Amino acid sequence: MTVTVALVLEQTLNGLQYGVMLFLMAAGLTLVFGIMNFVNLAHGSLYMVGAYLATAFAAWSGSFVLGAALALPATLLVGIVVEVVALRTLYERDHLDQVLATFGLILFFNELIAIIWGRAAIYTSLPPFLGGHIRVLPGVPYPAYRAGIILVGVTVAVLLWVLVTRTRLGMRIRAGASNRTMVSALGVNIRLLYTLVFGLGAALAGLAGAMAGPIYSVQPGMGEAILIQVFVVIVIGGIGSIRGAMVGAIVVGMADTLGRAFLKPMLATVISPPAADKAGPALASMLIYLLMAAVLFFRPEGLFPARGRS
Amino acid sequence: MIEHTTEVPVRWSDVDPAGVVFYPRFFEWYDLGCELLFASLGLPWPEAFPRYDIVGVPIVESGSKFVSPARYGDVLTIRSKVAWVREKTFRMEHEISVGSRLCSTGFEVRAWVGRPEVARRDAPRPADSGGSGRAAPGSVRPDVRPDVPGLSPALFARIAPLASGRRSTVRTITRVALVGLLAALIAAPAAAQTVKIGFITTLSGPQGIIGEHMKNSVELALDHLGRKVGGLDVEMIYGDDQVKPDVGKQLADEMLKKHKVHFVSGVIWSNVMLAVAPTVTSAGTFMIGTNAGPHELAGKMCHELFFTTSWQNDQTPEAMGKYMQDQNITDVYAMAPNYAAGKDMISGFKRYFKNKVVAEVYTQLGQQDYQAEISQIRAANPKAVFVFYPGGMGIQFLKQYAQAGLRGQIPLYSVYTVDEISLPAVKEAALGQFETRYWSPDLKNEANQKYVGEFRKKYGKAPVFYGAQSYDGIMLIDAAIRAVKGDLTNKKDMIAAMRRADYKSTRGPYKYNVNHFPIENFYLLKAVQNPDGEFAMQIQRTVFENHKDAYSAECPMKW
Repeated sequence: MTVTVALVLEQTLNGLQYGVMLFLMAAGLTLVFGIMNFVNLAHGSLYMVGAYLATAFAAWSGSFVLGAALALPATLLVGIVVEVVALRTLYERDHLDQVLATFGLILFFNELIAIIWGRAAIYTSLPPFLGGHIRVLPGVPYPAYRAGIILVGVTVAVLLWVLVTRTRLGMRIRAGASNRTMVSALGVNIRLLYTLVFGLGAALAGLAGAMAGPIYSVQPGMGEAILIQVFVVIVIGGIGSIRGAMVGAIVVGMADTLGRAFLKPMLATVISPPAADKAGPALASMLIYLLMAAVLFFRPEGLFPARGRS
Repeated sequence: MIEHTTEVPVRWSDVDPAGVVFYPRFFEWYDLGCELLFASLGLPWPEAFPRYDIVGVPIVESGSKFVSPARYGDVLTIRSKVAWVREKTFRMEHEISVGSRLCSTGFEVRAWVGRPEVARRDAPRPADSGGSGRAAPGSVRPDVRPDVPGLSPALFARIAPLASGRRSTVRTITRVALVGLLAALIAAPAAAQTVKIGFITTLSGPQGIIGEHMKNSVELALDHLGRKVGGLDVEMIYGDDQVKPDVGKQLADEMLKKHKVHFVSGVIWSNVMLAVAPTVTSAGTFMIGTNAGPHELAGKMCHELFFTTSWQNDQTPEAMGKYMQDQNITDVYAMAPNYAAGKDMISGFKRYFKNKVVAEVYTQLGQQDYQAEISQIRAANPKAVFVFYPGGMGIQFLKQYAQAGLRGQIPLYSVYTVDEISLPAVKEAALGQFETRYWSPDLKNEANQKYVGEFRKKYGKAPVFYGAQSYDGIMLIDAAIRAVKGDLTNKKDMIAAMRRADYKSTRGPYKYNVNHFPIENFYLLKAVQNPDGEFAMQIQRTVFENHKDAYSAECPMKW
């Protein structure tokens, strides 16, 4: 198979799009992990809730964009309710208790979704105006919807950057990530901050879910599939750092996509093609974990650790 | 269940100076409960004992829990029931309460003590404790003695003098009749023989939808059979394997040992089947597979107690390979998830497709995004693409394939990717998709039209092949039990009956191969939109007639 410039460009875009998707998930998870020191396995469930709500709202309103727009505050609300009802009492507990409780939430949400919408995957369609292709370069068509995801993701990243570095709330969030005790000693309502941060993380996961609906399978348990990659992203990027989440997501997205696309042909030039056939897919699926292991070895704090964390 | 309830007032003589009932009184009330229960059955002791030639029903063990006190003036409700009846003993369970407040629960194990037989020279003598030297005047009937460990020799000695030597065969029979009568009464609701069928499938998690279809189809089959299988009452025990072989094996063990099932059926996944089937068949129980067809069970590991109503894994991709070869498609791009079944599917495909396979791509199991692979397909520009992506993977692949604009450009052929479960989720994205399968809802035969029509009516959606196979599984069991007229111990004739496949299958008539896998037709299906707007699979043509699997020659079974 010939590897052309056009193909490399297309695969790079694919990697970027996947990375952006991971970033939306990772941003929320890393904030919650970094600021609240809370391991939230149920983050994937919020992604699933976002996908289902967006699909339901889109079916109800007849508009995909309106559906996604409604799903965002709805998931935020779900996130806040979960935080207030279930998670608040767990902050003082150790991580094992948190893992156990949020694993319970995964089961709860999966069954709840199955009760409301059934176990079968549900139908979601692309908005017609995003159904076509755009020409990135002559001869390189790219699905408009995926280009849209990249656009939304980059916009959200910029907004988040502004929020975190240029606003008072962002300052508190950063302060919270660095030293929680000091922040609360200075009179910041840390409890409210936690709720807000958790809600924000939920809304970002919901956005990722809403955008994932038309390309992935919307069914109970869809959140767990992506959650592992998201954890890899925040480990690579550094826990608690938005910048780290951004870089980690792009690195993982690129490595995974390009690995799947080009590792086999590249291996085939070094070892025999049948051996490459066997080793290629296996190595490609391991690539992000190898990357994570390397990062953990050389920089155990991740690429961009949040400042002040010990 | 035999039960009797009676009420007694607490009398002055029952209580202590504080007005609370002495604990031994409760044992008297248990005794009363037992006596009255017999009376309520028309068997008052003074009449029943001589009539059935027994001395009595002495207590060999008793116990009680005292939950709350009873006081003078209370009216006690004594609820007594027979927990079990055996040949030599039976167990009574009692509850004493005041109004809704429970006072005590207790039990008695009582022995059926018959009159001693006339001393026979060879009759065993009861053991005498302590070597008192006092031989029992008469021997005790051996079938009473050994199983009543609590019955002391002294008690036997007391009963024994009642022996008059008038024992007759008739009376022995009547005593047995009393035991039988009580046992029959206790099991009254399930008097007829019951066939127990364990059904293992996946009922939770993302794959739970498949199990739901299978379970619904089993229930529909039972509806069609009037809730009886082979003319017997049926008890279904459903188990959720969670897609885990170890859980599947545990379920099978539990069904075999605890529920003592006569048949185990179901099983979606090949790896689960490889754990379950040998467990079941080695216990001498029938395993009726209704989906997974791993090649091991079709070849060397075939077993006379294992039947399947589905197919061997390779057969479906073989049919697709045959069709694509017949179409003379010159180069094909093949894709599957990177696990055992994925590789089997591609090797089955290549068994009949002899033209060029330009690439064999194995993706991660459970992968969500195929955009990278789809870009590679576009760059390779093959004549056709062949994929195996079951479940959610298929939904994702089809959506992304259509979104990439390849749907109109490069024809897509698949196995186990588009079915009645995934079609409602992908709709237009699957239009024009080709599949091969042994069954389709539009297959024209009486059994299938009944199944499809009633399934739609009862569950409001189209059935899927997983369900059709499970429906057939119950029908196959029904035919086998009918053939032996309900004699579930006659496994030899049930095997013979199943081998004839003498029932109305939803796929139409078929035969069994030596390895108990069906010899059946395979069709080419296409995803179309019906005039009413529904998306459905439609049969285009027959690819294989009476297709045998590739492994039957390795099966040593002969019949």
